[in-house]
Amino acid sequence: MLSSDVLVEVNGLKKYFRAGRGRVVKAVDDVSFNIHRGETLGLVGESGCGKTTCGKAILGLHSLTDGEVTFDGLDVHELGQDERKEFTKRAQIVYQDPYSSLNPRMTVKDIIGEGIDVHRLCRGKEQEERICELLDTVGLNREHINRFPHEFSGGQRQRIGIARALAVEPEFVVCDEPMSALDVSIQAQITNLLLKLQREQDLTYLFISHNLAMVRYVSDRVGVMYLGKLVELTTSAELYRSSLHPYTQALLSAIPVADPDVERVKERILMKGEIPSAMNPPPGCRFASRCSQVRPICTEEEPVLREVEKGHFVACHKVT
Amino acid sequence: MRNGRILSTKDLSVSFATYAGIVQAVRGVDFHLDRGETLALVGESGCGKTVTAKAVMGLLPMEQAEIGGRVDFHGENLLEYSEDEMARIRGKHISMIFQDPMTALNPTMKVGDQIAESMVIHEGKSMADARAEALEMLELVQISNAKERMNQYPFELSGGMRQRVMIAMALACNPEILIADEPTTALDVTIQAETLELIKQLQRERDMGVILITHDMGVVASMSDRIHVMYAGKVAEEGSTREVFYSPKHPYTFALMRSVPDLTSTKDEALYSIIGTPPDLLNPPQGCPFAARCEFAMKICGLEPPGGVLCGETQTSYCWLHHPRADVAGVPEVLLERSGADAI
Amino acid sequence: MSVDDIVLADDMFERVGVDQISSEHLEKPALTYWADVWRRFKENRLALFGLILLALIVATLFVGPALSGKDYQHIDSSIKNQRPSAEHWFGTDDMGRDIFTRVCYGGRASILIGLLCTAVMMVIGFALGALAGLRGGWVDNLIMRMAEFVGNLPYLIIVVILTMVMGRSLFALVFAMSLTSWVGTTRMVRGQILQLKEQDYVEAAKALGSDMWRIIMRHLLPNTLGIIMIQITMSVPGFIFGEAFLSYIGLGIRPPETSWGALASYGQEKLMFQPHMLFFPSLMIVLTTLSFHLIGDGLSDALDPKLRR
Repeated sequence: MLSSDVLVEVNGLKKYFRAGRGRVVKAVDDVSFNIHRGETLGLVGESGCGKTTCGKAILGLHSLTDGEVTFDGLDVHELGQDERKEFTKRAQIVYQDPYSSLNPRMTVKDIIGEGIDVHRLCRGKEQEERICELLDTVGLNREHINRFPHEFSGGQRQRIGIARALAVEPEFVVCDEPMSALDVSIQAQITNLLLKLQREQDLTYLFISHNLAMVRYVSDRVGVMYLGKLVELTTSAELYRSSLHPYTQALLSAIPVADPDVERVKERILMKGEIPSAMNPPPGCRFASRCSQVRPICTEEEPVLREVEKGHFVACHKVT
Repeated sequence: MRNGRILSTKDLSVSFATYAGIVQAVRGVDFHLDRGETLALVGESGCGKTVTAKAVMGLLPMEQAEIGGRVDFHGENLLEYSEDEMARIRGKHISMIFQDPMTALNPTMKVGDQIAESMVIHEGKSMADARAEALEMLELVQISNAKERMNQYPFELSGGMRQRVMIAMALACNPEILIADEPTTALDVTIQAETLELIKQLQRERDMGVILITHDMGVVASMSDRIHVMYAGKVAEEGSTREVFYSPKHPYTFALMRSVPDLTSTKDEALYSIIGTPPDLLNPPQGCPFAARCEFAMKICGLEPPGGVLCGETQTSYCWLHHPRADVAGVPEVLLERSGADAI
Repeated sequence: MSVDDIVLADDMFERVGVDQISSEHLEKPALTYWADVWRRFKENRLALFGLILLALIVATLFVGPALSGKDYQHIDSSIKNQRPSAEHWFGTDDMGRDIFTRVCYGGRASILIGLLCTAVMMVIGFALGALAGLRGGWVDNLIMRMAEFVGNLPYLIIVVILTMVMGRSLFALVFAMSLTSWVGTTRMVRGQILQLKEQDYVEAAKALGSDMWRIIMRHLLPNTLGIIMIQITMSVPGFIFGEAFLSYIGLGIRPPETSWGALASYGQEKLMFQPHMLFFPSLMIVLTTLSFHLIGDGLSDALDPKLRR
């Protein structure tokens, strides 16, 4: 792939949070990957793995403890005020919680119009028309333009959030668990919408979720995170066909499949023990304490993310 | 009551008085539960599944809720029980676990004491005896270092552990029925798998009946023997798990199954998505609640609620498509095939 | 009811498909946030009573003198110390002045002082609280330590010293009373802002490129208005009472202007023989305080999202 194809480059990203009394939470600990123009990169993991922190750090919503994020050649965390404003037009975010991501005191018009106002894209009648078009695009009724968030359902609010992000005509959108708070049938609606928008507007997505089936469906490539580390990265098909990291395998076997006969005979890889805290990660591989295939080296040395097959990266001593 | 049947409801309905009017959350639900089996109440938010469970447990606010119908438990109608009589049932005969263990556990009470409490109340045990048994319960639910955990507070435990504590509390007095309301929705996938395994195991050991409330079709497939699919306060379809999954007989069930991506779907095929949103229960639709969103809806669907039609050995669907005069052009085969007993 | 039992017309089984209009609708009637708050407030009878009471009081203060036709300063010894009568609704004081009219004028001053002090307190409190909440770090630390220091100063002594030094003009009074009053408001605003800051929609605004000013004005302030309003309703009577107290110790508003506190103080000396001189101004203070508190309580309940039915 030509390097000009790469839209986002993440290099050695570290984000640590101070938790009082000298303790440090290593939310993201040395993560590197690229996102190519036009692709959907999925980021999967359970709670506390750092995927959301990663996504927000890419957009500059979190400062970095170490490492670098480049967007189309620009260092996201070294932008001047004007450059930063330009950047916000090009990279946007859709949030998980449709209830806290919209200001309850603002009308739909104001919410969607905020980005347009901030960047002075258009005003007055023209702006209103643009907002109405956005409502059409996301499948909402134009007449609801003066209503308040609490009058809408979760799925409808999520669409408002999407319209807000699209209002500034971005190239790159971070979707932070956009479906987790929604019902199954609404999830399908929103997913179809996001995919349609990607095709029509040539968007690049970073799709963050803990729902593996959804991530597999939506993404071209998938990265699996565990306790702040990227443990596997490959194409979506490859991940589900032949995953290599023990954590990925355990994760896949843990998802209940909507097929009773399959479930009955399924052999689940059960992990022992509790998830260690991100405050004091054990030395060596973070997954060692729960891994069914652990060996002595795992508790001594941290495995490095290596390309073991074309396009398939794993961080595991057993594999490499 | 037949042998093995421990609970059954007839025409259960619940409405709430709100400022905007009367919300009819549950509108005529029938189901039954036998010993040792798991019944899943499946549906999306607002379908009435949690309200149904709370009605059985007598946990609905009496000032605002109007409950109709019958809930038969060992020959008695639970809806006629006083609060005191229900308090004796809860925890001892029928227990419930909830979605969010953090709010369901008392943050100021040690975990061991909370488990012991129900034994003291229901079985008249002394606190010392109850605590000894509570320790056994903790070990039973596979909490490591049970002795230390006994004296810890809920905030010191992880989500998965709290859920296990709640299970221990619920099972302390060996109830006949466990109602699990979205027990794993708030948990990570891997912890979810372990928790569900635990519930299955305990159910087998105690021959308990389990009512599982969830919206996750995977969990249903993995746990349940029979399913009731609910929509807008009514049952859309009921049957054994295999019947409903492999040959759904209601357009809603059918759509639901198709809108969840499994591990082999790719984005070249759009997910089947149902247009619109569930109806307003302040003014529930006259006929079938799903009619407005159903691509196979007929005129009658909006006017008359469909009756139950037996479509399989134990499968009943509430849909006009099974009427001999229904317009079935374009309707997928699987929705119409009959197996076992014939209709009407 | 079996499917058999119904006699069905032929066209009943015509396909109609999805109903676009009713399938995507909005559930509850359109209510703006404040309309909903008002609805909940109205249902609270006590709160509504408080609101009406306050309205009546304020109306009386402005319309009263016109109705009674008397002048609040007019001295007439011949009618001094009269009990309440048809002619003088609240009676007369020991200089023959009509008490009702004096209470009306005094009330205007009392409420004005209450409102002015509250306004100053709000502005300072919001500014400092927002600054502390938003900037955090050393700014937050500094403001909070200042708040602790000022909050621990003996309020009364400060006020007394200030009024002695600055005189008893309206400006001086308001200045003295509000100087130390901002502490509670600052803490509350800071707390609310700290919580609001973490909301996704605030971060979303940042992600859209909004600057700090815009975020404060469009996102933080409107969502803080609720608690600010409650604070206002609880503070006004406090200041009215504060001024009354100052009048009692001789430091309140200066004659010929009068306030309820001044009237009460004056009337207190005559308590044994002319109780009506003390009674009426005190009654007004009590009623006003009561109405503000009822409104404040009602607002607090109406704004509480958890009490929403």
